[in-house]
Amino acid sequence: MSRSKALTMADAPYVFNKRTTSSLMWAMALALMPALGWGVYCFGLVATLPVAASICAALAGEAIASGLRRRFTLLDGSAFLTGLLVGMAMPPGISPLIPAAASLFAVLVVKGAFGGLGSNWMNPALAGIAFSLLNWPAQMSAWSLPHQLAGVSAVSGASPLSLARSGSLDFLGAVKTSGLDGTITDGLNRAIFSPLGADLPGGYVDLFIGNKAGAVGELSALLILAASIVLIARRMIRWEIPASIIAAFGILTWTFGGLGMGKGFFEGDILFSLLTGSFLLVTFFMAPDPVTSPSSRLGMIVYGAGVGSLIFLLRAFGSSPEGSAFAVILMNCAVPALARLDVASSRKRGSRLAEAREGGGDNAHR
Amino acid sequence: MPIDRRERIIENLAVASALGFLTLVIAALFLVVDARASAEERFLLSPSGSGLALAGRAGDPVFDRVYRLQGDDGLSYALVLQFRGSTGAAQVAARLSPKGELQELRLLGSCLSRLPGGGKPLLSAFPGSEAVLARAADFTRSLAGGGRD
Repeated sequence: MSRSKALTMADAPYVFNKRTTSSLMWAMALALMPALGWGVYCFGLVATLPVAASICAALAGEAIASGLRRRFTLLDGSAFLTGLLVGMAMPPGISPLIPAAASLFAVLVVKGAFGGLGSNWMNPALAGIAFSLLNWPAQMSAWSLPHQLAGVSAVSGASPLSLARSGSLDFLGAVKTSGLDGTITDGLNRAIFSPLGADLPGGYVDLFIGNKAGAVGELSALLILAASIVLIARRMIRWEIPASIIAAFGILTWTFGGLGMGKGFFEGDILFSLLTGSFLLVTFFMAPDPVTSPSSRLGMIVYGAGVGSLIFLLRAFGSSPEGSAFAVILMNCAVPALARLDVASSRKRGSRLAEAREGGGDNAHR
Repeated sequence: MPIDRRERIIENLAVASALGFLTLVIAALFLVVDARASAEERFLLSPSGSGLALAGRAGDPVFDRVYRLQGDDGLSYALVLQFRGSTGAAQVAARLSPKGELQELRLLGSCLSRLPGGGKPLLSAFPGSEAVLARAADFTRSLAGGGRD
């Protein structure tokens, strides 16, 4: 037997799991397909161009980066998922060269330059999105209305989030609603809200279904949530991070969100804030990235609370109406500190356990 | 360098080249889509297409292509704008003088049946449209001042 066959060297952790990185990546990409399909239905086949260019450029970047490392990692799905997420965050009418440049930056600079998958400290897809937001801000905010709402050809317009941000318009007054929204809202009011003495205003159903101006893959909260539930149920996404992001963001929005709209404390519109922008896509598909987020439960909760708080602060006081990408990147920087925090708490737990054991032993001895 | 390593690099480079080429093909496809959108805009601004030439691209979220229009009453600039507000969305053709003054505002289409006609009443129906028009005027002035006419 040769020496190389006798000894197998592998990095930690030494835990066998049937779920591979590749299967996880492809499952997440598959879960995003319905949301992408809805975007293509709303904006037409033109919307496939930025996504296709983004995926091709990400795969090309991965081929170059893995070639330099003398490996072939194109089929592990990570570059495909990065390209898909970058493409889904793009406005439908954007030049495909912008998502292509963003994906190349994500895969070559953010991931490849740090040693490939597992060595990057920042989520590559979010870094690519931030790269394009900083370099092409006008093109990145040229949203289109879905054809169900446009009524006239090629109508572009502000997203609901940027309309709300402008302050001159009421949140939902700015959002034109579809007939379906009216029907479902009436039904919900009759069946659920009216007996409770409440009233659901029009517009939320359209925001939930995805009848709104926005990026190709961020339109439908319904489809993104459905995909997330499947992935959480299959333990492919840890629930702690999304739950703590939503909790922190929801509490801050409810408490202070109304102030910017001339309302008082505890009058913020949580539902509107959750259903607009890239909040849900970032919360469920990018923030819980296992490489760039903490691995302990305490770390995840602190990280999620930080992301949620930063999204609120950036949306309320930042220069852009959307702050999700930057919020997650900022918290990615804090992950090493959170890991130390967790080590410290584990040590405390360990010493408490040891003390308890010793105490128990003494009692037993007595 | 061992042969398998060299083969691996060649394999990766070949895949990267093919995918890079595919990216460029997609970008070229977008140029076709863009050209069609430009032709549609030209038709909306001047159905005969006479005296209309692309003057510049603004890269603004609401408007991009600005056309130079040589009419009987002299030089002007034309562009298609999209307004959106609480009353719905509207597509509007605007004509501006080289000094940035609004000469004409024509409603091309809207998703509401009842909308005021062109000019100031239309702008008042869409909060924020004054700012869009001001940006368009600034860009027109920069085009005219740049010695392109």
